[in-house]
Amino acid sequence: MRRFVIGRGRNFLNRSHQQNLLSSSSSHCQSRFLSSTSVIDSPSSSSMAPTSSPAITVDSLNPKVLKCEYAVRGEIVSIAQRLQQELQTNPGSHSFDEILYCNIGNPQSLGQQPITFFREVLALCDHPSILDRSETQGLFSADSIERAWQILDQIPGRATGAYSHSQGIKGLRDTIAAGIEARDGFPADPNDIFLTDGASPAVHMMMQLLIRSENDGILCPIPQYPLYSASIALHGGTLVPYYLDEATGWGLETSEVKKQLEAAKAKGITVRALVVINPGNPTGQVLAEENQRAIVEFCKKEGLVLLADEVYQENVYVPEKKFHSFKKVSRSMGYGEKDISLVSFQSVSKGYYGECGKRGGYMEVTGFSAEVREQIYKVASVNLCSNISGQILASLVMSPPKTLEDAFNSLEGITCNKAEGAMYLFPRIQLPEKAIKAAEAEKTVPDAFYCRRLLNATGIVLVPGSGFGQVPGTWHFRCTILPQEDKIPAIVTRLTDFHKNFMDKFRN
Amino acid sequence: MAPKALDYESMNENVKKVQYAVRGELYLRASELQKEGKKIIFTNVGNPHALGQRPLTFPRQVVALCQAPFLLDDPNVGIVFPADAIARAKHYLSLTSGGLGAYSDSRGIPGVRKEVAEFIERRDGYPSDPELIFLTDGASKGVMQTLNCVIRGEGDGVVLLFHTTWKRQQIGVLIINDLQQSVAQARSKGITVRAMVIINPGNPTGQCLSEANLREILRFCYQENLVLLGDEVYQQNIYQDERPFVSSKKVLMDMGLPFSKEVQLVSFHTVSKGYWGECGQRGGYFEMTNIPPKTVDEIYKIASIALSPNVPAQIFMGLMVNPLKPGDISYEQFVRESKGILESLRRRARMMTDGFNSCRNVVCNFTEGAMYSFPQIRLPPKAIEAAKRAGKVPDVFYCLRLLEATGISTVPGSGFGQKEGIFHLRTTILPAEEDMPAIMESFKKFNDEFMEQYEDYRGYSRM
Repeated sequence: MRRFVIGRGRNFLNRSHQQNLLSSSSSHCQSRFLSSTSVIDSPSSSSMAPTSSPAITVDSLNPKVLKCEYAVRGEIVSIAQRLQQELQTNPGSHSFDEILYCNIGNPQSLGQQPITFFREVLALCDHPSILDRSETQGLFSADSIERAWQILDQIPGRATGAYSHSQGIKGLRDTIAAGIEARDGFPADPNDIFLTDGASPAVHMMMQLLIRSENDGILCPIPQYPLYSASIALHGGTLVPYYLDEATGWGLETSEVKKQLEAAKAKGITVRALVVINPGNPTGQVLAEENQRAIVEFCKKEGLVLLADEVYQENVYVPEKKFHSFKKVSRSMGYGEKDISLVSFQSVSKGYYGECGKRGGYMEVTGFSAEVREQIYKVASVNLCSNISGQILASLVMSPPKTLEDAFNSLEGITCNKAEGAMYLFPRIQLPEKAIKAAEAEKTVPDAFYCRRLLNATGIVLVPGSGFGQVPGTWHFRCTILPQEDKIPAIVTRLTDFHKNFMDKFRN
Repeated sequence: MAPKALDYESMNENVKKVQYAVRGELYLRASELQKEGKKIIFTNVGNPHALGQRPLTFPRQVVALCQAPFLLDDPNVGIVFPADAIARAKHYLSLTSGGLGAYSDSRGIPGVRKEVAEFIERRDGYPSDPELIFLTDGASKGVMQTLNCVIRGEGDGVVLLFHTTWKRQQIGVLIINDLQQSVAQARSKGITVRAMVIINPGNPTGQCLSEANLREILRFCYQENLVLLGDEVYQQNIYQDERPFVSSKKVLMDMGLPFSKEVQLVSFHTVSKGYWGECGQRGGYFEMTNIPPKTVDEIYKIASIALSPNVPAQIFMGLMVNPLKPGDISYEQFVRESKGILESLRRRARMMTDGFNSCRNVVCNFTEGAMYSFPQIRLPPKAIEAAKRAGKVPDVFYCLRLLEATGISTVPGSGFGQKEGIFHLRTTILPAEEDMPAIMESFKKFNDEFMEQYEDYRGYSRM
């Protein structure tokens, strides 16, 4: 019979959380700090005895370090690791056979498989010299080889082992900006993007910039992902909580935020920013667009920086909710660079890719003055750059291979209805006059003419629409959605190239 | 509309105070010029692969296989990857808790930390505890974390061992005198001196500290109750045989009681330097000695907020500390590649030093280690005046002129700290060997013309 550790753990966590809230007091830390500043008298070079106890003890550590807490990997996890060891050395020592780590969003440690295409590209970028060998084509898919070449061409000297630009490789930022634009429908500037070792360092950077002293406050949702409380504590600021409403599915009410803002101001706190986690961690709620608009309006009015943690943007599980980025919402309200200061965080650790161990992510920074931007760059430059593999992965995540349907819709003169059922796509193609004339000259129906040329150029087999019947003067072809997932990118690439050449040749 | 929450005035002052010259004014100007089409030789940062150094083959093979473990099941994998790379990939994957895509232990994969401990033990001859070794996203992150723990506020001071043009025999005494003076001065201003940083081999000076030097430094830390931060990232980059690398830990342990149990030490290493040069991976570690368990717990807590260091770099670290052995299939190639790089670095160190010493008003110590050359540029008074007029620090002025004239992008000595009135620049010894002669010639031409332009010839007849 198994008893899950987490059941006990949840109670334990609640109790320890409450204990933490009660016991954390800066005065406690203050007195320890004061008692440890021992001023050392002038040393005598002949005396060999040290003048006081070791320099670095818990009592003399930076009190901000002592103050901060991070429950996700706190005490419970240490106990779990011990229990795991006990199970290994002494099977049957507990009433359960295994430890189930449900404490952390770490999908691949629990069996989720990485996306093959991404790993192929990363492997090739890690070892580019094999791209020159023909045998490599037997091991890697054609589209991953192509994508790897594309990426390597954006890296000076194809040197994936070199420090890059401190904001990240320019070409990869271009890709990410394009991906943001495709997602939101509003332009993104690659110079606004800072690639980081996961989203967390980017959050720390912003806290460092925003917090001057404990008189600076950051509004955080309660419950929140404890990175925020830890980071604020580390940087010596004050967390100003606003409570999400559990009764309404963890709803975010701007009236509540306003209330907390005013209360903080009354205490002499200058509130600098508002953190919103959407989709929410730990709550899992997805904000409604009108809610987001209210938040944007609020931040604009109160002069707050909006820190939008959007790392779960690809994790939305209910059909009635959709992810909208705060950038998109702001821009669709007509608010630009001059209206709202917004930092959007994204990561490769979540979504369907779950690449936690790679430490890839970025922040998109908009609505700040040039001098502030310079300072952000400066801070980024002290760490030189984030890891290159993570940078590549971030660009892949923001520009994944397209579905067939997306691909068709992106081609000149082709429109494609969504496949709601069955197994087919039936895109419509506007064939230019020249092509129709060329088909007639070959005594072929125009859509068959297209399909035949496509087959001869690419090996892709479609069925001309005339085989199914269509409104006279319109042309279609039928394509199944059955090819293996890993073959689709190659199909899309070849089809796109063929279509471009076809249109170049026959365009009116 | 309410004023913006974050503008330059309302920013954290500490951020404004930060300077990082390596990617500062000179680098930004060089990047601008590069965009305009000028050929730039970036010698501002120790970034070997950016200057043509090839990555070592074996580690790249192993990590590529770890990235794409499905390859291991492919019957054709042996055609492209050697058997020992395949075996190593399997070994490292078995040490992870779900492959490269899972957060590891916040301190790093236990199996890799064990390999690091074994490396340290082999190198120093003293046991090393994997529990006191934390892997980090580059050594820099480890340094930041440690300083963050040590520095409570602006009342805390950290001693940095500055380079000076020491005469070799006098070093021991000179260092300690200088240090004692600095510490006393700081204390008289009410600063609590908490830690000392040494970089060995030195950056930017390249000087390798002798065992005697290290003993003096450790004794000093013991007396003055300072934690020693030993940045040893260049330990593989040694270009002379008189002073091989010896770690601070080894010297400390050799000193025996009470030092070996009392002096607190944090040592840093990386995959970015040496002959590996894998800067872009961001892989490093620090080892703690004589740090109390509760403090280690706090440092672990801080590490856990970042969840884990990146896993691919941890594997690079494992491979670096646990190298191939004679008999391994890839051993010969590995040794050939490594030796090739190290021997070339040694030659380039010599070429650069000699090249600088042949220039007017330039004096350059030999690069004993690390990756840099740090020539002293004796700027004539007229040049210093011209710099003032241009609103620039004199060595910045010189380096900007050098950049505009030759495309060589260096870091002015003021970015590293130097004695008042003495100017240097730092360049790396990393440009390709075949490019070196042309680069040194280009520098000499610029420098000698610059000196000609600014030297005062009043009262001297020109030949």
